[in-house]
This record gives sequence, C-alpha cells and structure tokens, in this order.
Amino acid sequence: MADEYLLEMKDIVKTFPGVKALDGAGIKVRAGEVVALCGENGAGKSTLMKCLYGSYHADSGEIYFKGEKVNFKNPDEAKAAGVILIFQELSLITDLTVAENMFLGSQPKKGRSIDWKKMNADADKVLQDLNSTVKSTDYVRDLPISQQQMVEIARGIALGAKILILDEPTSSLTEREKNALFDIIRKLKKQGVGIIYISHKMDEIFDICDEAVVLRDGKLTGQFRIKDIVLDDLIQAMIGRHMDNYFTKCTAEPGREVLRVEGLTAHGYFRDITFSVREKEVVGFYGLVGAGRSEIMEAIFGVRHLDAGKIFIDGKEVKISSSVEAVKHGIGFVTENRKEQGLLLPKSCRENISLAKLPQIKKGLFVDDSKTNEIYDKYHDAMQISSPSSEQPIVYLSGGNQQKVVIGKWLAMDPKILILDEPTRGIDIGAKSEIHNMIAHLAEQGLAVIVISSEMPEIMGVSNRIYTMAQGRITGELGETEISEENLMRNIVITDSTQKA
Amino acid sequence: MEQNKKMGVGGFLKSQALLMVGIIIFIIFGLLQHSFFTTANIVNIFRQIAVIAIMGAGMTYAIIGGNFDLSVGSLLSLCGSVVIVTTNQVGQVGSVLITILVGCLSGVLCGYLCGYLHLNSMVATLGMMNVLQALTLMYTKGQFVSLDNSDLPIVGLGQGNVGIVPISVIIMAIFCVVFAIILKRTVFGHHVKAVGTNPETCRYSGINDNRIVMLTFVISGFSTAVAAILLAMRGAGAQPTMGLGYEFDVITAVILGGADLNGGEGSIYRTFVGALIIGIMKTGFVILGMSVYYQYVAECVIILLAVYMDIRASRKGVKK
Repeated sequence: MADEYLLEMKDIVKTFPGVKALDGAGIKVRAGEVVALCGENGAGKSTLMKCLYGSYHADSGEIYFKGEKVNFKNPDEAKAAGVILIFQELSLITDLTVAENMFLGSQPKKGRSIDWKKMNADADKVLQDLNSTVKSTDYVRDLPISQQQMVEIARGIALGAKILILDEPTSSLTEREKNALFDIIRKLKKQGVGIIYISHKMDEIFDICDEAVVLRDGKLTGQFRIKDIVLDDLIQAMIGRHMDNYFTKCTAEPGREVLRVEGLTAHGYFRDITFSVREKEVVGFYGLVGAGRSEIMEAIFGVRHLDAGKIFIDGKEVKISSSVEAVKHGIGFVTENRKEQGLLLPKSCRENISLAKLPQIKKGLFVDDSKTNEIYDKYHDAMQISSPSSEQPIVYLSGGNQQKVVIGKWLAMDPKILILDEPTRGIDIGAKSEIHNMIAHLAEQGLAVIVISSEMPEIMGVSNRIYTMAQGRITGELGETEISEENLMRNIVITDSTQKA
Repeated sequence: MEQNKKMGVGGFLKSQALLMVGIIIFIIFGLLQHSFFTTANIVNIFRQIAVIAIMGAGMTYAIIGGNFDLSVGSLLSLCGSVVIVTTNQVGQVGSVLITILVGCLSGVLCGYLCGYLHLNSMVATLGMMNVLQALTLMYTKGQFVSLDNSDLPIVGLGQGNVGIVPISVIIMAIFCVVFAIILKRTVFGHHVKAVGTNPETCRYSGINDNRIVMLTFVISGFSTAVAAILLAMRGAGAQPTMGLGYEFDVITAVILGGADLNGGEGSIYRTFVGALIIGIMKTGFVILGMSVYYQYVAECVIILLAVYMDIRASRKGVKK
C-alpha cells in the first residue's frame, strides 16, 4: 500500500496562445507526505496547480485523486473534494473575524440565521488542533501576517482538506513564524493530509519536504526522494546546468569610506545605529524580519523621519530630508517591495528604467526620447534583461527581469552608494545568481553596496562584512573571516535572550 | 520606428473612435434640425466648449495625478466675480493677474490638502467647493456684478472675433496645445503620469510626489481662472453662481476622453474631443427645443457608459 498515491497528475499538457505552458508535467503525492514543487519562474508550477484546482483546464493528461479519475471544473468543486490552494497573497477579509473567514459561504445555520455559537466553537476546535493561540472571535486585521496564514490553513482544514497546496508560504514570515508553520505542517502530515509545497528556498525544501518534483519549461524533470538527493543535484535539475559558482564575492580591496552614520535613531523602529561602508565593498545587514533593517535604509534615503543621528557622505555631514536629496547625494535604493515601491507596473520597461534619470536627460524643456532609449538599450544588454521590446509593460516580465529593471534604474543614475533590500525575493534561481554576480561586479567597479537579506546563504555569499541586527539595534559586526552561520545566528537572537534572562 | 507604428494603429484609432462618436451625434442632430449644420452654429458650439475644454485641460492633470478636483465649479464662480469687480477697481491688466492669482492660490490650498496632507481628494475638494461658493456670495453680497464700462478691450476675450473665429476659441486652442505639449513632452508631464500610476515608486525613485500632486491642482486652478475670465467677459458680468455644475461637465469631458480614473494615463486631445461631444449635445438639445432635463439624463447615460468602458479597459490590463 506504500505506493498508493492520494493524488497523481500525469502527462498534463496545457497550451496558451503562443506558449506551451505545460508539456507532460505531473506530480504524485502520498497521504501524509510533503512534496516540494520546484522550478524556475515560468517553469509551470502555478499553471500545473491551477489545472488541478480547476482554474485552468488541461488540454490533455490525467488526474487521479483518491484512486478515482477527476477533472474539477472550477475551484469550488476542487474545494468541495478537499483540494485546497493557499495563495502567496492571502485572501482573507480583514474586517471579519477569524471564524467568519473560516466559514465564509458555509456558515452553520440555525433556522435562517447564522449559528454563531456553533461557528465559533467549530473554529476554535480547529485552531486548537493546530496549537494556535488565535481565537475565533479575533479580527483578522489585528493579526500578524503569520497568524493570518494560520487562519488560511485552518480554513482549509475546516473545509476538510485532503490536499493542501502552499504557494511560497514563508515569503513574509520571520524565522520563528516559519518554524511555527513547519510545526503545523508536521501535524497535518500526521493527520494524513498530503501537502504540495511550492518554494524557491532550498533550505526549506530540505527541511520539511519528503519528495521534490522538478519542472523545467513545463516538463517533468523528475520526482526525487529528498533524502537521496543533494542540493546541487536539485539545482541542476531545475536549471539544466551545474552552478559552479552559486555565489560570487567581491574580491577587490576596499577603498575610502563613502558612507558613515552615527547614532541614528527613529523612535519605535531603531536606535543608536552606527556603521560605515567603503567603496569596493559589499556590506550585509542580517536580522529577523522586523529588526529595523529596512527602516534604517529608508531613513538614510530620506523617506523616513529621523529623531537623532548624523549621516556623513565622503566624510562630509549631510542632511537628507527627502529622497530627492538622497538621489542628489548619489544614493540608490532598491526596495524590498518591488511592485509597490520599485515599479510603475502598467508602464513600459523604458519608462521604468529611465524614471529617476528624467530630470538629468532633458533637452531644453523636453524629455529626450533618444536618451531614454539609449538607457534602455545599455542596461538591457548589460544586465541581460529579457523583454520582447522596450515598450513592453513591466507587469508582464518575470520577477527576475523586473528586479533587473529596478537595479538598472539606479545604475543609470551612476550612484556612489547602492542599497539593495532583499534583492532576490521571489526570484528564480537562475536570475538570483545573475543578480549576485552583478552585486559583486558593481562593488569591484567602485560602488559601495549595502545588501539586506533574510536568507542566510545569500547574506553569507555576497557580503564582505556583515552587521547583525535585532530589535532595532546593531548587535554585532562580522569581518570576512568571522562570517559563519553560528556567529550570525547568535547575534540576531542576542537581545531576545538577554531580555529573558 | 516600432513605437510609431504601434501608436498609429492602437492609440490613434482609439482617439479617432471617440471623434467618430462625436461626428455621429453631430450628424444625428443635423438630420433632425438642418440649422445645426450652419457655420454660425458650429462656431457657437466651439464658443460654448471653450470654457469646458480649458478647465478640462487642467482637470486632466489632476485626474492623471490620481485625484479629482470638485472645487472647479465654485472656483469658476469666484474667479468670474473677481475679474469683473477688480476690472472696475484696478483696471484690466491688474484684474487678469489678480484673478489668475486667486485661481492658483485655490489650487495651492487644494494641492496642499491632497498632496502634502494626503486627504482624500473627493472630500477635500468637495469641502473647498462649498467654501469657494460661500466666499463668492460674501464677496458679491449675492448680487450680479457687471462691468462699469463694457467697451474695454478685455471684453473682447469673451465677445470678440478674428474673422469668424471667436477670440475665446483661439485662446482655447493655444491653451490646449501648450498643455498637451507640457503633458506629453516635459519631465513634469512624465512625472505627473508616473505619480498617478504609483506615488510610492516615485518617492522611492527620488521624485517629490507631494509637490507634483500639488502642482496638478495649481494647474487646475489656473485653468479655471482663465476659463472664468472668458466666461465672465462673454456677458460682461458675472452671477455669483455662474459656475454651478461646471465640475460635472468638466469631469465628464475628461472621463469621455478616456483618462484612467485611478490616475496614470490620459490625454489633453482626447479631453478636448470629450468636451466637443458635450458641446454638441448641449447645443443640439437647445436647438431641438428639448427640455434641459433630458440633457442631464443624456449626459448621465454618456458618463456611465464612459466609466463602464474605463472599468472594462482596466480589467483587461493588470489583474486585480
């Protein structure tokens, strides 16, 4: 019975006008196992899941669920059968309570009205089973993202999930919240739920998954037992080539000091922050989500209020009260929220990449279109942005290409200091390594680079020096030789444990 | 080259479709009433729309920047009264300068509320609409104001012609062309579209988004002041409520012109065509001797259609 599959998708083909999105893709899931679904962006992971979920209909191929051939016409049918998809972006109604969200559309009734007692009790039971501290009567808007995700999962359980699909579930979770999620996943495994886990994060896949399905260009490359495979093999299966240099580090000798800050404080976010960055150097900032890293960079970039502290650029004290001044001082800032803060989604690649540069390239009173085209051409080639044309709306590009456009926008400004906040979040592994190479290359050319990342391998791989942060303070500085997982881990939990003691 | 080709097929056709609608409405009215096709009537239509088209050019900036300016009707009343009263008091040149200053100051205030304090533009300008109307009534003590000397050259702005073309139409043409060039070609114009698309991205790209939003309101106020001068001079006097309801016509023109109601896109030329359609309808109903009430209903139907098209178009784009 060991080979009895709860879910089996075979030879799925799905064609969109002009694109064969799936060409013989498939996945097998046993009850009580977690199967990772891996592949670069555009490999067909989402399309495959949507074919299962009834959002799309496969052109050919077979789906067996609990031994029977199925073909869900729409997501409602899939849900009713126990296939639950939890999207990366949560779909809760924040102004309703947890119980209302969990039973939305299927509330228990007493006569014609909702049986509130039963609904809340049912919700609490599911939440308790998940060891959650969330209560059925809490409003969703008051919960942190991680707990909202818990509510999504609880909703799935309440609906009687047999197969739970999690799409990049940890992208907005802290380390501790991630561990809580993994505890839940382990619990669900014991209850016999089959879980499909979509993620770019290799460490998580090796941590929580039993098997991994790899898709490449819509084709099934293979399904592996996690314990029989090593990281390099998995990566090779995804990209079809070996990545010899997964990380490239800047090897230049650091030059003079470009940026120094002393005693930066913003009440409620960070306090007494002092650090410096030299040219030809990549400085990493590592810490848990919420440690105040992004907020410091926002303050240096002039978009967040500072209560105290001094900023020096090239040894001279400067006052930066707006992003306009930050740009004048040669600072570029690639924010962590690409779509909300980095891009004009409906606008073209050319408009996006030349946005910050416009005031510098005007001809008389007017925008010089030939210059904006030049900028696009230059960075299109230099950064290998793959886009059908300069006029393609940026929203249609992959995450990796969008990020290259954002970085290109800043390189066009010829900055002295480049700040990159989570530069590879939600980006496939091929583009990730290109961006890592680019960071090293830019530093070697003389740029002072600051990188914020929550991914330990990334921060260790790209940084020459790392500042660690916890709860709004810098807790340590690690030179090149001191960078190790143990040191990083110890430094980011330091404040926590001292407070408890 | 590729870019030009795309404009030629897609964008051009779209704007021409709107013009076609205008021409069809024009022909329908003409078939119902032959006097509609006379030169005098066509000139009259253009004279009618000068005010809406000029204000519409300003409103296009506000809407592309992501905001509505509901205060323009009341501001039209205020500026109309101001230009008449100050012409009597300080002369023609001074009155034009003062009136434009009043328009711009109102824009600065609306712009400060919406751009820097981030108040919802509907609410802020709705409040301003009442304040400005009240100011007008206080300023004129609720009375009709008229020029002491209606032979002044400034009256020509409203009543004069060059050949058969009214001076107000010439001013409208110059105004729309200049504003279209500013929007399409200058850094400021690009920034307005960028801020309307996503103000946060602009702030994080070293653009002062608050200032851009404020300037769009100043432009709207400035345009309204110019329109008020033409409208007041047409009658050599001003009712304290002469701007009543104009904000509706002006916003209708911009929406008919296909500007994105969420900000980010729009064109002065298409707003002009929108104003033209409104002008044709208004004149048509008058000539046919139909009740002004039908006109309100017809305008309402047209604006609902235009908004519906806007929603459909935006659904086709980014999935939300």
